[in-house]
This record gives sequence, C-alpha cells and structure tokens, in this order.
Amino acid sequence: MQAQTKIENDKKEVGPVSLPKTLCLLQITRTGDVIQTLQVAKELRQGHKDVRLILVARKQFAFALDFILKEYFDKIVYLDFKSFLIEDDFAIANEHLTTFLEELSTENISVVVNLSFSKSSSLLSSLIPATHKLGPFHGVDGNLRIADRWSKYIYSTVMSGPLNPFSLVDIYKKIMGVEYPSMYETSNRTGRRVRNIVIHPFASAAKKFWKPTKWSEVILKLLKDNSAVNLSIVGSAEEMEFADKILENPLLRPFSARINNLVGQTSLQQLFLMMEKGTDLFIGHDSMVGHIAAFYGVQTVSVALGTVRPIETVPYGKENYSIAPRTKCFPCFPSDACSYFQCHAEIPFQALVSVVSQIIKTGLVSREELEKDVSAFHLNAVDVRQTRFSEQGLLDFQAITSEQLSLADILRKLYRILWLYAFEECEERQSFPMLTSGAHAEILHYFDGLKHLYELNEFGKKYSRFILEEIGSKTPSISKMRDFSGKIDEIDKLQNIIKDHYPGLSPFINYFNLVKGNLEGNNIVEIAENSFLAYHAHTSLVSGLYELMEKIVAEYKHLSAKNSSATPRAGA
Amino acid sequence: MEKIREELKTKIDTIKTRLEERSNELGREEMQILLFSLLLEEEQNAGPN
Repeated sequence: MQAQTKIENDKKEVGPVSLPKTLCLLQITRTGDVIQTLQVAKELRQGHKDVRLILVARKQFAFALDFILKEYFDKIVYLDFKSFLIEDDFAIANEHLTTFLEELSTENISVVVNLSFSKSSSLLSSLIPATHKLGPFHGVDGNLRIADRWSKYIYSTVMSGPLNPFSLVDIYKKIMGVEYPSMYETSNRTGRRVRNIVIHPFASAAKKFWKPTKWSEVILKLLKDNSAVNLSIVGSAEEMEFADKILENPLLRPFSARINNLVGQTSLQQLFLMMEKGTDLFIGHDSMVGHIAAFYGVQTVSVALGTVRPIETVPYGKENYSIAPRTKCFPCFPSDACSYFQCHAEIPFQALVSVVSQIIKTGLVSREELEKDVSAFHLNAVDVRQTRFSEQGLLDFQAITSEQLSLADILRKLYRILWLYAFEECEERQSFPMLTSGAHAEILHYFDGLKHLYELNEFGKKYSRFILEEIGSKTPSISKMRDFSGKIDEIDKLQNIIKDHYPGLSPFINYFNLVKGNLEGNNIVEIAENSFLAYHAHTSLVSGLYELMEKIVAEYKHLSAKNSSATPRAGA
Repeated sequence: MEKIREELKTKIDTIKTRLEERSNELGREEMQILLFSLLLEEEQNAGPN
C-alpha cells in the first residue's frame, strides 16, 4: 500500500508539465502602432491567458505606455538605441546591442511575431532565436523571408498602395491566429449622455490635420448648439502653439468656461485615465489618441486627411465614425508633395459638427439629418462611414452618406471578398457595389488587364509543369530547365508591366511576386510544384475578380436601362 | 558619432561586396552590423512622436 502511494506521489512529481508558450511581439515603430499592438495583446489575452507575452519596442515610443503595457505583457524589452551611442566608439555601441540581443536569446521564445515591417525589425527578428517566425525576417542569404500569408499580405499590399480593405488590428489578429469574437464588438452606450468630449485636433504631419481656424469653427458651433457639452483639448507640448491659435478666436471667449485646454499638460497615463473614466466621445484626426479612446470603448469621430487610409487605421471598435474626403488624390503617400491640401478643403466643418451633434442628441448618425445640416454641394464631396463588425468578426465600414464608389472603393470591396475567401475560406456578406458612370468606364478598361494577367498565369503554370515533366523524363536536360525557368522570369516581368498599366491589379501581382520569391521546397521538384500552385492560386483569384466585376457591370447596365426606360421622353 | 559612422561604413561595404559575390552566407555578426546601421539611420530620421 505504502509502495503504491509512493508510486502515485512520484507520478505526480514527475508528470509532464506543459510550459507556457512564449510569444515575442516586435513593434519598434511609433506610439500609435504600439497602442494598436496593445489592442491585439488585449484580445489575445482573452482566449490565451496561459501564453507568456513579450513585447520588444523602442524606448522613445513605448516607455511612456509602460504603465498599461505591463498589464498585458509579461515582459517588455525596451530598445534604447540612443543610449548605445553615448561614446563615439563602434565596438562599445555594438557591444550594447549584443547585450540587448543576448537578453532576448535566453527567453526560450516559441514564436517571434514581427509587426513592424521595417528593414530593421526584419533583421531584429532574424537575430532572435525562436522555434517559429511570423512576419518578415532575413534568411542567411540576406534575402527577406515571410512564411505566413497575412504577413505576406501586409508586406505586398498594405505597404505598397491604398487598396487594403482591412483594419490593421484585424490583420495583426489574423497573423497571430486570434479567431474569437472581438471584445470591441460590444459597446455599452445605451442611455448614455454625451457631456464630456475630448478633442485632439492634431496629427503627426501637416497633411493629416486641419488648420486651427477650421477647428475654431467646429468648437464654436458645437458649444453653441449643445449647451450641456464640455470640451477638453488634449495634445503634446509641441502642439501647444496650434492649440493657442485655435483658442485665440475671440468668438470662443463666451464659452471659455466649457473649454478645458489640456494641451501639453497631460501625460499619456493621464490621457488613458481620462479615456477610461469620464470621456463620452472623442473627436480628432488619425492619431494615437483615437486608438487610446478605442482601447476603452469610447466612441470616436475621426476626420481622415492626407495619407490616412480610413479603414486601415480608424479607431478599432463598433459604431465609430470616419469622415473622409472624396478628393481624387486621397489618400496620398507621405512622399507626395502637396502644398494646396485640397482634401482639407473638401470636408466642410459643418459635416463634422452635424455628425457630433447627432451623436450627442440621439447616439446615431443618419443621412437624412446630415442632408438637413450640410449643403448638398458640400456633402457631395464627403464620405461619412460608421464602423461595424462583420459576421466574421472583422471591422468594416457602413456608408452613411450615399455611396458614390470610386474604382478604388469598388476594388477594395472585391479584394476583401477574394482575400478572405483565399486565406480563410470564408465568405463575407457585402453590400452590392453600385457603379457610377465614371467607375463603370474605368472598370471596363480593367477587363483587358485581367485577361492579360490570366493568360500570363496560365503560361506560368505551363512552364512550371514543363520543368516538372523535364525532371521526370529519362534524361532531364539542364539547359531546357534553364530555358523554362527563364520563361518564368519573363512572365513575372510582364506581370509587372501589367501593374504599371492597371495599378488596381497590383495587390494580386505584388502578393504573388512575394509568394514566388518565397517558394518553399528543398529541391527543384518541390520548388517547381509550388511555383505551379502559386500561378494556379493567382489564376483563381484573377478569375474571381473578373467574375465579380462582370456581375457589377451587368447590374449597372440593367439599372441604367431600367432608368432610361422609366424616364419619360420629351414631348411624349 | 562620426567615428562610429566611418567604421560602420567600411564594415557595411565589406558585407555588401560579400553578398554581391554570393561567396558567403550572412552570419549573425554581419546581420547585427546591418541592424546597427539601420537603427542608427532610423534614430537620426525619427521625428517627435
């Protein structure tokens, strides 16, 4: 009996113990990105409480968030590169970097997830020992490697153009495999009264925020029309000058008791506290303050300007509003020179005031009320959209103003359907995109591009198959295989020419260029097989896009014919 | 800082030549030098947050 008890005790002592998996997230870009990473970590914690989470971030962009990062990460490793350079000696500075990397090497990391997508973060990811790597890293040949499809997607599509239809937070979640419903899907705003509004009327670049005079108008009108509302303006010390300019408008003086200018006076910790307790609504541009608001489920209204891609960076949560211009060049790239800021002028301040006033009064924004408040000439140049979560738990936009979709808007919708189908095998319900005459003409032009792309992919399949057949022959010829491989290179070059003529097709072309650059395989057979599969997958997506476009065009023609037959002829 | 930059430039040129020739794989030490160079560049270009 005693012996049996001893055996049982021994079993208990030596039984297998599963160690918590360690995930290391690399986020060495700016504070706004760190906050979005924090949102993902918060969601990950919901379903995986046992995972050990490490964050690697730059000290200058993340240390001010240490108080909140500590709640969701087990360890935060700050990269303080500036401190490595105190002495003007490379060997000493490099030794500091070695010590920093050694600290990470002892962590027994299961997965390194690079969410920064910069050259430096790719190298950093390569230097951290881990069983698996997600996101970009460098191979020993110095070439960039990306193993997972969502990271390939970010690298090829998000980084290179405005046709990404997903929120960055959702993409981060997909990279990390967070599949359960978002905790930001619920909002507790029933019966809420909007009393305290926080405004951050600034952003990191002049392209992305309105001039002070426009914000003075917004504040004046809001306070005039909503007597029970108080406004707090927040921002950093560098933004104090702008805040002073906003508030120097003499018409605002009678309302000074209801304006709390906190610019340059709050720490990030205080800002988080403000958002956690006592803020009913946030108004601003695309900046980290909006993400802090969303972190606590505070409803947001953001004005997207310049380089901002609304769906990518809109504060992550349900029933947030985005106001964006329909300016043709919007969104632009940071490198695009612009002195006129046409997109700033396209959004009338009345549109923002109307959206906010409607939220204050009813909690909801309707097209009818917007049309009452804002002239049709002004509203015609603006997209007002509300965020919602789709059945798949992904953030999406619902149009409030009439949907006059541009070609880019339509392509984003179609790409969203096709990427989700290709990556997740799921079908997301989308409203049927209605074409304008301009977009109709542009789409017709794209059919030719799709046909060329389809044919090139079929050639890619053919030459990949030729290589496989040559390997399988009795006497494989190296020179023949080289010729076939040369043809494949030519095909890829021609696909890039298609991209120049049909920029709207670049998401597929860029993605599959990356896939082909990262073909897996230990020998020529496996690589040729995977090359065939890549061309095949590309063909399927191109066919899918063609079919969806055909349906949209058919519907447009049908409606146009119906409308023209319903219009009575003059003199009839 | 000048001294660091000069030394780094020589080291990077050596790595680049080696990579172009494809005569060697990129070792850990070399990767670290490339990382150092990029971090230095980013440190100089980083504006206020």
